[in-house]
Amino acid sequence: MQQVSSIAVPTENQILRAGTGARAVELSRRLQSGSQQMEKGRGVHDMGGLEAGPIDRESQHAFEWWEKRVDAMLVLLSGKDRQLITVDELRRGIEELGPGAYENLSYYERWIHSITHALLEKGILSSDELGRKMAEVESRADGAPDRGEI
Amino acid sequence: MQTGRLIVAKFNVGEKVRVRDAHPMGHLRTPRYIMGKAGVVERICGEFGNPEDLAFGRDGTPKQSLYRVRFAQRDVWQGYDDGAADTVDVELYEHWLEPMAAKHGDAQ
Amino acid sequence: MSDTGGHDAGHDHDHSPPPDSGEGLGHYNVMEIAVRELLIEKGILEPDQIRAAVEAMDSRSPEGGARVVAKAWVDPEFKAQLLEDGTAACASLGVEMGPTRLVVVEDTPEVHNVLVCTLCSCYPRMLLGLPPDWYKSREYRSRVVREPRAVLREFGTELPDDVTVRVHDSTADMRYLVLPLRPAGTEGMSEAELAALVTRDCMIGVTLPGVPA
Repeated sequence: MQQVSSIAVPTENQILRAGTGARAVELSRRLQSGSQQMEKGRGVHDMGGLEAGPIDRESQHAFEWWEKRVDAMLVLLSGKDRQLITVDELRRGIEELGPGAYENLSYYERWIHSITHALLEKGILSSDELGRKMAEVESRADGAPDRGEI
Repeated sequence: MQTGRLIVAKFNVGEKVRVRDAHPMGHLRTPRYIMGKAGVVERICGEFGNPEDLAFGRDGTPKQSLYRVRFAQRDVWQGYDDGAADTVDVELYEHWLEPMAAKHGDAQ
Repeated sequence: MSDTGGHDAGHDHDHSPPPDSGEGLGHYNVMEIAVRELLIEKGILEPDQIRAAVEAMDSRSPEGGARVVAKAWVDPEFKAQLLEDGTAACASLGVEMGPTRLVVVEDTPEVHNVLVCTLCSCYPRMLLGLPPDWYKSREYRSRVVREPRAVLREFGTELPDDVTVRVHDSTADMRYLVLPLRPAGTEGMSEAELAALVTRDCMIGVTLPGVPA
């Protein structure tokens, strides 16, 4: 049985939102780059060849349960059996977020945002039922963490 | 061009092509850094639906040929001073490629 | 240390829960639960299928790719098939690429390959599992197409001047895997021993495979 690591690996959100000066400068720079790209009609995601700083090879966030479930949902929804969303729609939705959201949301936050948006666009979900369900989830959870149940 | 279901690839392996330079809105899979650049078809990858249309819920037909195009890095980046033979390979959809008229003095 | 985290350890099927962030459920965590429950209620998804998909994802690690590389190193026929049709070769080992197609690019003494998806994060997940954070970062995606050697240097990889570097930007439906050069001094090693030298990062092309002690 795998031992639980005693080293607390930060989540991607924790890394992104860390209040340290260096990290804030980093995010600010990325935000600026994304905005400049948009001014030139270049997608915020279209970053090949742009100036950027050193690569952070060390940070590797621990995947949260909900992130894994997002990934699984995309695989199932886009798979041959259902074909309800395409990866192209997923990517397009993420690209449409714009530089602020693109840089400030974590990888799977962008995914679930895009998936949900696509489901709303297609009328598979309505905002009304989504809102009611989210409120129910929050009150049910009552501050408790996600324990990975499905 | 296609007749019925048969798709004929417009470009052959080894052919010189140039990437169109266009900046429309929408879901593009042609990176900005390669637009306007000239390269050589390294392989024909097959026929695929158009991601620009798939991204908006359409079925992406008619399918078109996808190519892997090889570019010399020194043709892509001004002042590229690493390996003279270094390359970048990019997958590009047929509608983004134009034939390069063969002129004397063309690089490689 | 380029290969951090559980994804590259010998046994990286980490079923231990991630640390409790202590903040309750984030907005997007709530959204995911809500969307999932609604889709289940509507009969679009079933809990078992979601669980199975999560488990399938967790079961994939760079070990899958390492096995392919090691086999290619010892079996010339397999290597030829792998380079000709990566998808079929992996299928013969029980690895299905799904809707994507695998192109295996071979390192030679003259050529070194490195992979990127500048537009998003396309990655050979079926062979390597989920990509590391740095592969998806702005810094990597921006710089490796333009200055691959400088990027490789950051990973501790120095290439001789006369080696050609090929960057592969997976912008469409192909997925790539680097077949690194088999290190010297590995003659007589078993496939399993060879596979242990093959890390995730050397199948992306930012490092070279380990040298036996």
